[in-house]
Amino acid sequence: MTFPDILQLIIDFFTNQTLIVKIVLSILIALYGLFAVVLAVQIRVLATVISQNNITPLLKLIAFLHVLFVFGLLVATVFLI
Amino acid sequence: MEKQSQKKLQGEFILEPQPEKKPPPQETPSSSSPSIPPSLKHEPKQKPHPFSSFCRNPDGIEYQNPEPGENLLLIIRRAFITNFPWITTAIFLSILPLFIGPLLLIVFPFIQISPLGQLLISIFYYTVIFGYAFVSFVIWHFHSAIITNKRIIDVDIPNILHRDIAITRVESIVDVKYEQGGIFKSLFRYGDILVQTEAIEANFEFDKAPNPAAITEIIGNLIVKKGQQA
Repeated sequence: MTFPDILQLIIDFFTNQTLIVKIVLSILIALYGLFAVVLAVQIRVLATVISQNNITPLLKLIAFLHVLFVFGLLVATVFLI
Repeated sequence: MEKQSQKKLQGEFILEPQPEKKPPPQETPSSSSPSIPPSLKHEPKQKPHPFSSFCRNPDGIEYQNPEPGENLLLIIRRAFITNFPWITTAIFLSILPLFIGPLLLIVFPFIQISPLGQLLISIFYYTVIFGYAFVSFVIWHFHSAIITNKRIIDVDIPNILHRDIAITRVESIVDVKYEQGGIFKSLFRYGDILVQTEAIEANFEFDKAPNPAAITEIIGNLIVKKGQQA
């Protein structure tokens, strides 16, 4: 590949808005997914310290569904855009 | 002379003979029935609802390492009104795109994202708002204090990654007081309760607790009971 080809590739990359959005959004969702996993783990740990029978299981379920949803969003971003 | 001695003494410094005061009947402490403050003795157990920040004799609460014969007297969280900031922030962020969206189209007309991309960005944005609200609620829910007839357990959650758990026995409690200052604390009736102990962790603080007077009374009764049994 010559220098003009590389330059053209970079220009095509930065002018392809869809690709930029896909990459940036994927990174952001992946980082947020990490946060969601940490949150779910921390809720499990806190539930061992103190637990209210009518809401703590619900919080655990919401945290788990939250993690699943975020990873589903990541898959959709990577494969559908 | 005899008549004078028999005469009843009168004068401003002479007290009337006082009836003998009978000492109050002392409760004999038994190992099977630990002391419970009188204000909570006859209150039935009640299930705290999910947004409860003050519940006497709660039912359905489990905590770490309960001791035999230990009765849960009170569970305290921060007053629910203290959640107002994050609730309003979440609502504001939720309605922000209605105003920012058209503005972005005007300011950045050269940005053209596919409809699917816009949809995924919107979903991610509202997922982040949900995550923020959920974390805030979880921190409020688990940041609590439990008062039993034997111990006080203080669970502090400054952020989702950090927890600070302090436990003290009722026998170590020396003093309890509360502070309620400022317009919001006075208006919404919450305050800070300070429990002085003999232990290394000298002070237990329950910040922004509802009904601070009632909580102070309950802990004060525990101290009194401890003194009577000593």
